[in-house]
Amino acid sequence: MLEMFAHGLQLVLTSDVLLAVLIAVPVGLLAGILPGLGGIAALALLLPFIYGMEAMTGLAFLVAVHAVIYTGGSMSAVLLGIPGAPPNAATVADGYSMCRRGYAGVAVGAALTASGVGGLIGFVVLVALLPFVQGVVTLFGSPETFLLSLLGISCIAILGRGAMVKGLIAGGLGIFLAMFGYQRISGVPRFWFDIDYLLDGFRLVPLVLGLFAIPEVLSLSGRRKATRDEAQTGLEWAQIRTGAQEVIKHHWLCLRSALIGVVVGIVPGIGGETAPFVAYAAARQNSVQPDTFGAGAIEGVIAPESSNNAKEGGALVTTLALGIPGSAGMAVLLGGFLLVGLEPGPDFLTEHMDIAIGLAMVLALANVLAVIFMLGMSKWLIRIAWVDGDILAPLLLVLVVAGAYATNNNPVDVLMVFVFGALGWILRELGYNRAALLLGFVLAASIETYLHISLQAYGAWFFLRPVSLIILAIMLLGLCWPLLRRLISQCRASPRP
Amino acid sequence: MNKSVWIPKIVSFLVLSFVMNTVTAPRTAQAGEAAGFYAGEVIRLIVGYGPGGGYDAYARFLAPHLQARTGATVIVENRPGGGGLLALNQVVAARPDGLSIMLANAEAAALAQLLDKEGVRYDLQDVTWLARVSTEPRVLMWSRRSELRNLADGMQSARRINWAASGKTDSIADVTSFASAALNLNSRIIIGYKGSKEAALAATRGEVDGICVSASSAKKYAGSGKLLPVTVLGRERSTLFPKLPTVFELVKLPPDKAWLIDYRSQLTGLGRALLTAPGVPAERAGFLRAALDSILSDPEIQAEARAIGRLLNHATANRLTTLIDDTLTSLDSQTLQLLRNVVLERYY
Amino acid sequence: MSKGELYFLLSVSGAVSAVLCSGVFYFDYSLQILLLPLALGVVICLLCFARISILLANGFTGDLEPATTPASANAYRKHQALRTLSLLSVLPAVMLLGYPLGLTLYVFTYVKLREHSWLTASSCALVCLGLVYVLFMAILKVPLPVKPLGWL
Repeated sequence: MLEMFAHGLQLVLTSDVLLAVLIAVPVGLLAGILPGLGGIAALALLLPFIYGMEAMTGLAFLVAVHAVIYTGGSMSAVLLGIPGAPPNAATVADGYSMCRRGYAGVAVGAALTASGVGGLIGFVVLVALLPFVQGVVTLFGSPETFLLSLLGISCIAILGRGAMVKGLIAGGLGIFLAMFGYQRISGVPRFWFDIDYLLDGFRLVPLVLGLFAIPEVLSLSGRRKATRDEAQTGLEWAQIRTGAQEVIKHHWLCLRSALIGVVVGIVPGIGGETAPFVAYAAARQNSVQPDTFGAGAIEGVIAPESSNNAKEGGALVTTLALGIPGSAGMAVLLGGFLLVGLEPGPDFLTEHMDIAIGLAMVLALANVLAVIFMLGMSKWLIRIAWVDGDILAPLLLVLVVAGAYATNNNPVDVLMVFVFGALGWILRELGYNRAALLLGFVLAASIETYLHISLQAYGAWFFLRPVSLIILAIMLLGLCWPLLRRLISQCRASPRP
Repeated sequence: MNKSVWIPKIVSFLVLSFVMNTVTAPRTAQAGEAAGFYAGEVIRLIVGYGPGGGYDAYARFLAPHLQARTGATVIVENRPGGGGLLALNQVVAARPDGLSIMLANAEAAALAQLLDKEGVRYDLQDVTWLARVSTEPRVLMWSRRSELRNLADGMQSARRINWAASGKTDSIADVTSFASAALNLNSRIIIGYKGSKEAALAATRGEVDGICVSASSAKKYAGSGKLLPVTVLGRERSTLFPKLPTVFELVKLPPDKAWLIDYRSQLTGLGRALLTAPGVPAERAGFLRAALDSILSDPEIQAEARAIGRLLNHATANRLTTLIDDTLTSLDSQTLQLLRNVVLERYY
Repeated sequence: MSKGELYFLLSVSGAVSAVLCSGVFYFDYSLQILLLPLALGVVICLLCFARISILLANGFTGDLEPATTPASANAYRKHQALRTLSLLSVLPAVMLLGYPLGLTLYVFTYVKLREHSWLTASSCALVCLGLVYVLFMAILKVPLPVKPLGWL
């Protein structure tokens, strides 16, 4: 194993690969920051570039771009309230609140540091699991995928705490929107009204852009340029440092969120977008001040960002070891492998373990470089938040519109951005939780599909498996945790006889 | 002249020229020299699936070669949606100028048309076929975690046999349906997996008993020892599995059952194929066909494809047209009903 | 505001019910296909009605009668609406003029109409052109529609 490490290191420490990573990191960060290009659109558009490159160089480029997209995306989430990529939507609530209250630096420092730490934890888990991955992924069958999706959906209730009925309505609406289009278990398209576009139902990227970007852009347009306060400039570095220190202070939170990210990333049936929401919900459940969440709690930034980057380590495990993409981004990465003539799968690890380890190292390196790069740029990036709204708003809309088109080369996607934009604006004005809607939308198909498959393959008692029971226990514990904690502290407080 | 007069004039002139240069006047088809037409033009090679998949890989492999042989710029464009239906509908309805071609899942498209699936707005008999790029026979595999070891075990199994697939007409489920009907298997097909790899993983895990996949996929799964290749679902052995018997070698099938296997093999023969809109001028279609025929039968290019794990099995447009006509028109309404029942209802 | 929420909740229940009715009467879906949407629809409608009853119980803090609205508030709202509409004109701009031209003109016009200088407006238009033409079309090779009315 150690010699594999050495080989992997050898593969990475070549000028070609290092150059590829050095170029990939700013590209990935830019793709993450620009709202229209978040997530797989950028990766898909970069795929043709690696045609003709050496295998390791091309793959390192793609992995590095992908690893840092969410780090970049956290910046737009914090500074503009617009998630740079769908998984960054969980960071918006608290990150943007902090920015509006003058703590942009703290939020930025925390988001970046959490991203870097999460990415490194993802790398550690990835490398630790690679030799055992066959066994690990075999443990997670359809029943486990269903229960994990159920766990994810139950987070809607946690996200909606404080306005439960509204949260549940938003979540329910999200699940309902996912009902349009092909039902995976029957192949029949639901409610498509003879419109070809609706055969696949509503799409994720227009939904996210509409729900989050459009309302913020509309608000921006009313805002005039803030007067630059010289005293504030000094504050920025201090704030950024504070933010970074908060991550160290909340190290257990960071670790737990990262582990959540890794688990969600490993299971192929669940999209990576769920990880930050589950991490956020777990953070809220465990917080002593859960009501601060949504209004500027630092944990609400650390948890999702840590899990965002960690989940890529998990997804890479499944992609490399089984050739099954854990997410849409990984599907594109898989395409990159095929383009350079490699095929991930069970054989791949036996023959090319050094490449796998090399790519894991690229993941870690890219995360670290991204954090250094962004921390260096953050002072100037924060200025974006002060740009005149009249200038920022139309330019952001240009990115949103072009990016929405670029996703699938479909003009209807652009129209849908504005349809969902209207919905997003209404939800925001009325105080409904848009993140809950997104979570419901993302998980709905998994729940219906994997429940059906589990019942068909294992019968009604499909959950009587070790891992399923553990997941059920975690779900119940998680939901009841605040109550349990109160009971425990009451028991402790009551005088002994 | 006054600034307030000539600035607006210049601006209007610039805007107008920009607009006029951007709006391309429709080109009239040049009688004769199709090569002259294509030189300098842009051909869109459309793929009905997202980037990173098999179709995308084939398209990106072919694009530079097509560019070299036609003199046009070939751009691969991904238009995922409806399992490839969306793009096919669009290409079929596009302007018949020969500049939009599609690498289609002809097998699935034919089945969808045959079964009158929702969203089908094309008729493959009208389409301008260009060439077939690849095709592969299907191999039936058992999971090593199941107690089934050979075809006889499956045919004699008293309990229900579970199969995995992603959709009813995804070339895995329907192959399974045809095979089950031909061999009288007590099958239940579980669909919903997110693609062929996840379905194969389910078989590997023992969540289902078997899966029917393409020969090249079967080779990989067999190599890793997780799935057991049982038989080739066709008349001829696969070059990738020279020792694996065909279903006809293992079982003597009565004609009505044998027909099911043969018909599905015929559909498989359509494979991944290049097509363009109906009504494209004959000389342009001919030019594209000639270019593609030369590319796909070039031994060097075939070797290049093999090196990245892609097989090219060329067939001409004429062959495709004959195959399509036969596939879509050879069934009477009773047989069609039977097919519909087999593929869409019986094993679910 | 609460009145707005009331209309929203009614619209949601109405839309969900309409879609489900189409599934039952128009598409004629089987139970397997309709089970989850139906269950969901029922839950959503129940939740909406629960929320409506909470709103009714709390009484409306709703919108003021038009007669008592100060003129300045009205003017402000009109100004807001106009600004929103002009911002959203990006959609007709790309549909009518294609993406590069439409987006560039849109940015230029919007910034200029918001009372910025010619220089600012031109710089913004240039940035837009750079993003659209250089980044999206030239580098990333996104086939953004260039022709006006290209969707026809």
